[in-house]
Amino acid sequence: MASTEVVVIGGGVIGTAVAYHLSRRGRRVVLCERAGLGTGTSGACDGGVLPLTKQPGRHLQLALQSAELYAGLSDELGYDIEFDRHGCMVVAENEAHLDLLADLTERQRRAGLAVQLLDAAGARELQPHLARQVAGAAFSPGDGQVNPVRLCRGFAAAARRYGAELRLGQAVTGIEVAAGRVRGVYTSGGGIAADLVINCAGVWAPAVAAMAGLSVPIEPVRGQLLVTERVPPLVRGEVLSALYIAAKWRPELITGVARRLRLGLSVSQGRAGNLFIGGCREQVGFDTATTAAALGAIADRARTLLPVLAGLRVIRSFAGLRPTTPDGLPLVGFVPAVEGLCIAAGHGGDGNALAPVTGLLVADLIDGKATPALSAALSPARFAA
Amino acid sequence: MAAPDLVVCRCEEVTLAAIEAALAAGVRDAKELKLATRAGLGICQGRICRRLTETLLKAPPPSPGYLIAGYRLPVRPVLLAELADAAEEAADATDR
Repeated sequence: MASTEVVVIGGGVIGTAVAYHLSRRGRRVVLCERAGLGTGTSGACDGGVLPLTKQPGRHLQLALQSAELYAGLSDELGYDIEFDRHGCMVVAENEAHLDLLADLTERQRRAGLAVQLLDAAGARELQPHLARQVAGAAFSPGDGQVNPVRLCRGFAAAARRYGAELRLGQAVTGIEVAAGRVRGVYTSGGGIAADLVINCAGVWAPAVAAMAGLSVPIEPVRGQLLVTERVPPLVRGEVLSALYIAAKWRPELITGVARRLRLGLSVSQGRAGNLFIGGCREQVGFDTATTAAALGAIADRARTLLPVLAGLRVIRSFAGLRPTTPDGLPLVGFVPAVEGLCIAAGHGGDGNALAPVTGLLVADLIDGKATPALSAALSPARFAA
Repeated sequence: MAAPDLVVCRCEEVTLAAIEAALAAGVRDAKELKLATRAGLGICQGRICRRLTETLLKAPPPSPGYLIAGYRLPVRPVLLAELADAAEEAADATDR
């Protein structure tokens, strides 16, 4: 039977980030991914790295730390992850939205985010295609976007250079536990003995945890996006409606179909020129279908905020499953019940934003160097009954 | 024998050589191929190249329940405004 020091389960942005940081510190790592790199949630999102959408506190602090790590990451990995720091704007469509943004940005500024509150004219100066009737906007110039699939590939390639082994197309089918300690995993390609196993399986993390007899409070939430034809630059960075913020934290402010779908508009343009327009938050299990109702509702919101979009052709749609937790923070840390078993999952829609800092944190936890307060805040033990 | 500069995906101008390089690098299914080369991600969404790329992929899906490639809305390019109008009409019909 093969043996290693650490087995990382999952080849998305979190698993590859963890494998990179551990192998960089000299740990012997085997990463098991049942399909290909970034083919789950990481390959079904728009790649936002957006501190502006985070609540002040632990969440924003982690996002800011991650944004700093992103700045030099392409150079560090020797691979272009297509990270562009071109800002994020949250647009208030009415005065109630503007009040919500004024309160949020004031608290974010105190927490260290360089965010400006703009009036309607100021917002349209930065985004000339915005509708005339917007009330104002918040703008954070340091927010950015990454190509999540390239991020996975970059982390994985660098991990491999540090000696990590990537087992793609190999599903973990069981976890061996003896006398309260993890001993290794079983995979479709044979067993691997290891004293450390890290569950980075995102929405599938509960299924992995169940192999060790544990339950994990992570639920899939479906986000649908539509993709337009390639066009010359129309938007700068990511543009969100304040509806997105409301859908995330204040669903009571929304009514009708927007409430049902927890609709929160986001618009961004990839390097190739295609626009990605989302999104919604639906609890429909593991169903990744897209629906005419949600896509139509998203399209309707999109043309209200950015009328120029009405005349673009939609060529594709897709849906991704966001691994959400009861308190909105990820689970990162050792599980209380089984020694040597660690989890790094449940990042919701913030996987890209938090991947670099998560990889670093897991490496610190294993080396016994993590800050106690942070470890406690993210520990899976906070949900242990 | 097909020339390596043969264009397989016309919309994104992906050549046979690029696809073969991706396959050699370990790409095993249509989703990974799209992510690695952009083949099938253009305006026609693989309506022209899909048969070809699937033939080149040959291999069966890597794990049960993991689709080679699904089909999703829209079946052909549609104006964003038309998509929005259709949803509005459907919502009105439900409310009536």
